Amino acid sequence: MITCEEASSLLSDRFDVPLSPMKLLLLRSHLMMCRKCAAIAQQLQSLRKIFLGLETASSHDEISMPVETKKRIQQALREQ
Amino acid sequence: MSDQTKNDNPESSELKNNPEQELSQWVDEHGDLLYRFARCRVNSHELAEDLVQITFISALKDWSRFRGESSAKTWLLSILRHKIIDHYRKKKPESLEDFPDGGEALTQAATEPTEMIQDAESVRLNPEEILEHEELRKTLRECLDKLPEKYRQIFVMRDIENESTEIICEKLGISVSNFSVMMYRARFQLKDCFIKNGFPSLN
Repeated sequence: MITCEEASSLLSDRFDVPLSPMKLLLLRSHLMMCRKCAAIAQQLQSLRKIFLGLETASSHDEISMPVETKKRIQQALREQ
Repeated sequence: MSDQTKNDNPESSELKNNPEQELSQWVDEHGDLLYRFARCRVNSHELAEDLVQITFISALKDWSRFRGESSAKTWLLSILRHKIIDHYRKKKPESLEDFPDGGEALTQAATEPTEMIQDAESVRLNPEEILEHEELRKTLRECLDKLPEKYRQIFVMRDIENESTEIICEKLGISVSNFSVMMYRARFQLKDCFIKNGFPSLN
């Protein structure tokens, strides 16, 4: 059996690297017995899906660079 | 919106003779986009502004390498990306002490996963619906700001830009196990932060 902490770490790892069959088995059996970790697994999955969709939508973001900064950069370009 | 539409300037061949003038125009056209890009990746607006300025100065020095094959926006973003990576490479590794609370909340979150999921059953996020939600970006920015810079950089590269683990480790010069620990901490802290910001109630 693995602890909740070990399971949490594997829940993150599985997005990034292939897990060994043994680790996968340990993780799956933990998730079958631990409702809390199973819920975390679902949250992490949902959040990852949402974040992955963010880059394409980033041009709708509302922040702008301050006008003074733009002027400062233009000034710096002239001084080069 | 200008930075979305004016990617290629039909007069660029003419303006290529006057790079300062052209770049100055690009500051107006693409400055906001570059700033936003940098702002998501570093935790201070001053640093984001500096990185954008460094990008433009670099673009001026490397002007002969811009061939107009890619759009101005793509070219500038690729320079900025490298500048951000350089910035992180120069920085010393961060530790738990870099967290505002000395890492207390994070350590607790990492060792007591049950603390984080009081509302676990109600968290069923629907990506399409939430993407449209204005709060998402605000929350993401707030939560990202609470992460140490190195974690933020890795998180953005992996979970927002979908860069491969291998490439991130190579670019940042870190081991896979180092990467794994930082991603784990970043993801759990962000998740915790989203839940605290009321995202469980979205559904």
